[in-house]
Amino acid sequence: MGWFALWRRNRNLNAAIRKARTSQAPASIAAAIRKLISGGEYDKARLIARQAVESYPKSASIQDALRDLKKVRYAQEMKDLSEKIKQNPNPTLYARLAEMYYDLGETDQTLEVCRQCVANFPEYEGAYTIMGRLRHERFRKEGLARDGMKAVENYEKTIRLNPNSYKTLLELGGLYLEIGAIRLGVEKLEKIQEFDRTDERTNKLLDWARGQTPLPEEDLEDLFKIQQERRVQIRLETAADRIGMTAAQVERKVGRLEGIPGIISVGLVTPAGSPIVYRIHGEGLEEASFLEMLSSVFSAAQECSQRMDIGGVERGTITGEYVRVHFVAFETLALVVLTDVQSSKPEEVDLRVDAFIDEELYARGGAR
Amino acid sequence: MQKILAELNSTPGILGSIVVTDDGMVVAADLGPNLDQDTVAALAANMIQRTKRSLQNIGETSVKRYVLSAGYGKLVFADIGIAFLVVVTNQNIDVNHLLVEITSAGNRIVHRRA
Repeated sequence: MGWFALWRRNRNLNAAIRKARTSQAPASIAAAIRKLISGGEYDKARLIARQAVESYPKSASIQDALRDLKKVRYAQEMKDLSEKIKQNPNPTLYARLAEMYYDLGETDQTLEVCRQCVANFPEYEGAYTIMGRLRHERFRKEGLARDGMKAVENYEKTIRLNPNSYKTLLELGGLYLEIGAIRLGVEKLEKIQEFDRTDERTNKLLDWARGQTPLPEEDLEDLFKIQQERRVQIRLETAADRIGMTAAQVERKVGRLEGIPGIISVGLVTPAGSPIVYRIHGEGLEEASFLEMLSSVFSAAQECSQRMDIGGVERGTITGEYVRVHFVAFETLALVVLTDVQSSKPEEVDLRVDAFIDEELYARGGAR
Repeated sequence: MQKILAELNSTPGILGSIVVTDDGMVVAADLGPNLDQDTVAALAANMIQRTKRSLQNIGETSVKRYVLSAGYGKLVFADIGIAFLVVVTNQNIDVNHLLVEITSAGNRIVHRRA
């Protein structure tokens, strides 16, 4: 690099640092962090990112910039780990790689690495722990019963392989209590007491749990479903309020999409893909898989378009061999319609969905 | 393949195109100055993988085409067998016309390889 280019680079970086220090807007700070990253000033970027996270813990742009920084930091190590796994796989290499993907928020990649680890080393507990944590976190965020069940399944496997795993016992015990499976929760927490009677968090949870009346039967699937329904109801009430209707009116109206030719299912989701209302019209479609699809398809589209800098998603169509997914965003919500490719025409479905949004959902008051 | 992408990109409204496998490997790319190849490839691969996986869960075997319209542009993903042809456009382009062009380019890419 010539002296002029070097001078200009340093000047730009110093300007970025100044801007980050004086700016009050998270987006400007995030832009400055990215400028520092592209200039190779990782330490300075890290310092500013750390301060920014403290000031704006919920800012999406700061979190994005932080993720970019981590990506740069992890890039070489991730490449090396992948190479080592190819040549001489061992469970700790998989676990380290999965942890990195987890830290970057790359859920699918994390699960994929864990699945490979489990396939090659089924007796290694680390991969089950990471999968359990990830599913648990997703259950907390989205409230989907399937995530909760998977979290339990993976945590239980961890404990079977390592009965004294304090963190997993605590997480699983807490999760059981959270959904109302008091007996199961107490059972896990008492296991911690077998090797540590002084742990404050365990004792606090146990004190609380012993004051509750356990259900006669603790069917996990039912308990997770109840949680899922509660979350959906809360979202429905919030969304209905936003479009000036009652929850019952929105539910009734979404039910009217049944008339679309070839319709299999329909769902109203939040921008993050969390289901608000859904109806399954076709036979043979499993509810949990449909909800997972609802949650994943719209949020993936949203993430992709925002990161590609082409703005927020307005609509989309995904055509497969047998089904077609239509989604349309409106009022910070999205309507997702699944149809059968054979018996529906995409243009017709789009027209019906648009008309539905205009005439039903925008026709406030719900007199229809 | 590069020539086919360049011809496709001469359609008014197309900002760039890339042929990428669903694990993010770039087969060929002709993206405009404002589109970074690695970013587009990574985002496209991520979206293809996530969409495929969630559709597989409901029994779908493949994703043939994906059309996404956003505030400032459109994205079209077309399965061309060996990989996906991903096209980035501005928001005013006519999707039906675009799909004809993309299908034709996809066929030419496949037959060149054969």
